[in-house]
Amino acid sequence: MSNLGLTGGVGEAMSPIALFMQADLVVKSVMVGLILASIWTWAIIIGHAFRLKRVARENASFEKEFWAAQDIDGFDTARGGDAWPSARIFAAGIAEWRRSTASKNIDKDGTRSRLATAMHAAVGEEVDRLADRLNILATIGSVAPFVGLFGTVWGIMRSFNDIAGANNTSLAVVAPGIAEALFATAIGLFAAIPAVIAYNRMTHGINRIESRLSRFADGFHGTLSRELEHEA
Amino acid sequence: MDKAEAAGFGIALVGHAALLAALSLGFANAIQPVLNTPIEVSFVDELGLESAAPEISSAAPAPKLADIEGQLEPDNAPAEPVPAPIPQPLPKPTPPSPPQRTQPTPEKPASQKPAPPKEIKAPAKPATKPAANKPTGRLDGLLEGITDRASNSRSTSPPAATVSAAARSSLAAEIRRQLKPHWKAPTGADAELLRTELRISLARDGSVQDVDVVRTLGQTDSNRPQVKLHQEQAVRAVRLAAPFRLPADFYDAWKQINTNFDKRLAQ
Repeated sequence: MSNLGLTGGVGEAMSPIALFMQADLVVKSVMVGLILASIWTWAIIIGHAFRLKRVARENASFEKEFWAAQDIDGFDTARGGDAWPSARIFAAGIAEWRRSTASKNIDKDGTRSRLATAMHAAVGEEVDRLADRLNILATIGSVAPFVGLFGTVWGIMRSFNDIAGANNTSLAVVAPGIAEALFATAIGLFAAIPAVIAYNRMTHGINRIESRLSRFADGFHGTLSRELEHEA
Repeated sequence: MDKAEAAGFGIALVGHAALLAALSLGFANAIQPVLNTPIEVSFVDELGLESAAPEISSAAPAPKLADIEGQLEPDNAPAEPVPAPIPQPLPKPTPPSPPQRTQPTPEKPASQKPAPPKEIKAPAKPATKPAANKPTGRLDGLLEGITDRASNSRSTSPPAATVSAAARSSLAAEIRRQLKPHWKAPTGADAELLRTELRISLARDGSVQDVDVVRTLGQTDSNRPQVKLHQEQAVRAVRLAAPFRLPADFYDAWKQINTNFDKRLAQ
């Protein structure tokens, strides 16, 4: 900021690293924070995209195998230990079933209610696990533009001070300071736009998974309910 | 952080580094600074209403009074090698002319008078040719004028058409400054109303060639006796102030000037 970028050529002055190096300490910290936020955003986006895709695929195959299976106990020993949401809901239902049917006198209504509650709780837990860190995307998406704007305002204030000190208002003096300040807003938008898009898209994907898990839980509850009548 | 998140973190880090590198290299290479060569601009706050560009004046310069560049002394030695070619053309034009001239005046011996000038003139012409080649040391007649054509101008310098207004006014101020110590206005009733205008012709060295009284303004009945004295004092002031020290470059602007002598000049 001291030399206002006049020594270098325009190309050199406009490169991101040069803009960063010319910036004030506050603007620098804003830029670093926003770049870290951007990296974090993309880490969450990529990780969640992989995971959601895999979860949807595994859920589909699990449910397909479940509905095709004849023997629930046999299926439980084969696939019950899987770490996928459908498998965990299935495991929660089976565990509740075994706890409720362990005694001689079976309270059918109470057992149905407990099964429903247990599997509903399992669905909620799985959705919470999938939706973990999506709030970070939402936060970055809404806050990063303001942080970048803060850096810009601060940088422009600084460059106006420098302009007043230089007693020269030619474009060559004014432009580098403004450009470096605007660079902060650019990074803020660069971090925020993917975060907002990914948040909306992943919220939608998780809602679909949740409704699918609920349908599976309802279907499994129906199966267990029928089994309960046969038991009696 | 499970495996998918670690992979996502790594990919994001690598992607940001690649983007930064691409922007740095791309910005540095793609945007070529357009550097216009600076133009020097000067702000002019003084504007002459007349063009001061050195146009050539339409007025003809002073004529050469002498037909020849300089007369060669008869005892000049370097003319020796030249006479050989010269005498041949000379006799031919001269013989026809003397018979014609002599015919109307054959009886009187006084006809010898026109004849010698002819003979003198004739050798003078060939003499100019060696003079052009070899310096004679005589410069008489060289600076009498710069053109061969007839003109009533007395200017022997290549004249500019106009002198800028600024130069003209500063010259006038300088002339007034030099006149001021020598100007003693006569005193008397209404003498301060008089204003005598003089036309002064100056030589290139600043000496006064001619002074004419153009007119005297502000005459009243009471100051009429002072008019003659006023004019004499004005002429005297010019004579005393001479030679004027003025820039020779602008000689055309001050070779003839009109100056007013009045109360203000005396103050």
